[in-house]
Amino acid sequence: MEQVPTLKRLIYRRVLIVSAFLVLISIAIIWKLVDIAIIRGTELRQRAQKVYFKERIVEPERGNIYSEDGALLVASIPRFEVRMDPLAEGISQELFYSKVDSLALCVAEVTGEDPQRIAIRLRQARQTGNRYVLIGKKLDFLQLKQLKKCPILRRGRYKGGMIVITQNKRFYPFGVLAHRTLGYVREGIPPVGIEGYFDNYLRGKPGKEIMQLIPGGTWIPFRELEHPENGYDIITTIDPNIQDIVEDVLLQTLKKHDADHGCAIVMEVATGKIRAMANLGKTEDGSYWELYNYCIGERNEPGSTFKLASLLALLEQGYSLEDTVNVFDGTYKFYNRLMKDAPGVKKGIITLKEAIAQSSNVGISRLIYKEFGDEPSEFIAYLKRFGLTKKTGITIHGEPEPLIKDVNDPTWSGTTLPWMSVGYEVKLTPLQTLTFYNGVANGGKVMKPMIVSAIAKEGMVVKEFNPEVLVDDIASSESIEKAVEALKEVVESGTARHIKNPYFPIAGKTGTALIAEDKSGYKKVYQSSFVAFFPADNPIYSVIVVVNKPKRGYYGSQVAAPAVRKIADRLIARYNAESPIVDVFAVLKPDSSHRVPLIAGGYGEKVNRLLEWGGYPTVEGRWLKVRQDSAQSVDVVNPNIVPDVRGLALTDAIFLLNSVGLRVVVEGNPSGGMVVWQHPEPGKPVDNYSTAKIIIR
Amino acid sequence: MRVILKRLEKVGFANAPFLLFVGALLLFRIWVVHETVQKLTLLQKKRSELQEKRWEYLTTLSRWMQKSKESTVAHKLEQTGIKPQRKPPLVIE
Repeated sequence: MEQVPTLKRLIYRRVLIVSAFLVLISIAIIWKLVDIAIIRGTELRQRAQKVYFKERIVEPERGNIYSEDGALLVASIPRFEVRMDPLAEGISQELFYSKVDSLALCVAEVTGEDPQRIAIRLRQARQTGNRYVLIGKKLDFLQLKQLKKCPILRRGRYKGGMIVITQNKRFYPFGVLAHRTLGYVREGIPPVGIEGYFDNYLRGKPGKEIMQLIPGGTWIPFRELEHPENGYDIITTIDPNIQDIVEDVLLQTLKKHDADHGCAIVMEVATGKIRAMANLGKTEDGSYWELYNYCIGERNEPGSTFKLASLLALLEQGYSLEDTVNVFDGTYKFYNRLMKDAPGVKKGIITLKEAIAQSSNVGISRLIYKEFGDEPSEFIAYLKRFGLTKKTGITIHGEPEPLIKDVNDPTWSGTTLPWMSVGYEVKLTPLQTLTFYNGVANGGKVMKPMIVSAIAKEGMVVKEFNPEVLVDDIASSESIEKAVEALKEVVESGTARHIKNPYFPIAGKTGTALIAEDKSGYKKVYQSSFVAFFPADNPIYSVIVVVNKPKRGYYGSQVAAPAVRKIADRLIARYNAESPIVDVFAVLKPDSSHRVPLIAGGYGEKVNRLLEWGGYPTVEGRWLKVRQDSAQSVDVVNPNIVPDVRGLALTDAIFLLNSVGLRVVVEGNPSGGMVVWQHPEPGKPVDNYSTAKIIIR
Repeated sequence: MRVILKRLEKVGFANAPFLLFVGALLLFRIWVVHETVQKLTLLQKKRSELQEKRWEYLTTLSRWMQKSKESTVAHKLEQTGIKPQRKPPLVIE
């Protein structure tokens, strides 16, 4: 009977021992807790902070630069440098030598390097113990992605030895297009272009956060101390398409004349918006590159393009274009300095209009001297009124003040006024000259050159820049009209007559300025320019092209004017093409065999117009298909049956098939002519199909 | 002694469900923390994936812009004789 209690006691005792043991352990744990949390707490917490937490500066994303129509011009995306460690642990001898050639081939496909050279480099590196072999530099993300698929490298960092170095770079999707104008910000050099001027907006504000190390060795954001503010986006007035045209033309021009450098600007007359600004300079290897923003920063004597200012001043003084001046034999002496006309300028008595059209230095300087010789300050007052004595205030750093001498200037002499009147002893930048011409084109209202039209954030415009007027009225409307007439004459019969075209009138002025001369007076260096606006009667764009130190030919009329003509042609072709005034159907004529012309089919209204024009019967219907042989037209759209799209153009065919609810799969050459085959066949009920297949040829 | 043991027994068995509950809570907490960490890791991974997609988009966009530039297209079409329009279009009608 005693057994049960004894057993119970036994169990109790054991439980007691275990409990006591547990209590002891608990006490030990509690003691350790107190020790960790309180006694050594502060110190341990500090150590933990160091190991498991770190503070990180969160770099804000720099804003992008867009064009007005939303094309991305500058963005922040990284470039990659890829290197390889051929001795990485995961790469066995066997693996390396069996795959090195296919690796080289794969890399060559991405970088364009010779595969044999890559293979040799890799083999050498493995033998000599170079653990940092260059695979490719300045790679974009797609190239990196391709490299990650190459043999060996696809095994990753440790198994494949692939080392990727990310370099955060500003990225120019259009390449060098407008590189200087869009600009950049780099440490140690003054900021350049729009990037430089709007750096405060683009930059954003860095934030701060605390990162925590979690199991698995990943750092995750733990707490944000300061939120980073991403930069604002800048919307520029530069139109990438126009910029492309202008750069292309400028490059061809510089190459043709083997010039040192040149620049070109296209401005929208009514608003002063700069649509293109190209700068190219010759590099050491003879190629051309955007080296410096000559348009804004290079101040030179403009030469004859400045005669427009003299003309306007004379017109404002009451002169008419028919007033005459004697240019004698094309030379005239002011004090001890001889003023000369270029060869080919009419001699004897010429009108003011001829003096401008033929760019007679003697004619203009004599008239100016006659009118303002006694009171040169009046001429300077006109230049002030024309806005020529002040900076344009464009929002890009580096614009110098124009150099227009005052009568009190210590270097002012008796010959200053006549030389000034033909564009010497004054200095202007190409942009300043263009701004003035643009003012004349704009009926006397000088607009501030505008290169940024808005600042935006996350697609919302936060600040908009409106066109600004610099000078409201530089001259009376009569004077402006006459000035434009004279400038038109330059292209009509004057120095730039070879760029005249039958489609639209151009008004402009050539300029050839001697910018340097060595001591012997033998080697002369010129700056050729042409400033113009077009169509002259209702100007849309004004353009300046300046070419410095051309080696083949140097007259503005030979060098710069043809470039302006090329730009004008393409801009006008483009401008008209963008306005919906031309109906392409209107230019197709029925051919001689009296078959219905190649209109095959299309939108009913248009097809009927063409049929009517060719004398064929018209047919009612929104969409029509014309059978060439019989000139019969049928309405092809019935929502319940598959339309006959054979013979139609791709877009029409897709539209029609979509309109009856069919999805379209296209095969063949989409830029080809017309649909040659279709499935399902025409006339079948639509309900049986969901997809249509067409072949285009 | 016996008294103490009896008391212990009572306490132990009477609170067993509660202790179990506390234990379950602890397990639940561990699971939650683990899940959170997993989610954060995933989030971080997705974030860099998103970044990569953005780069890919921008790179593709820029390549496309290069290729669609008028001068590039004109250059490619040189052989075919197709050139950019130089004359303004005329209205015939």
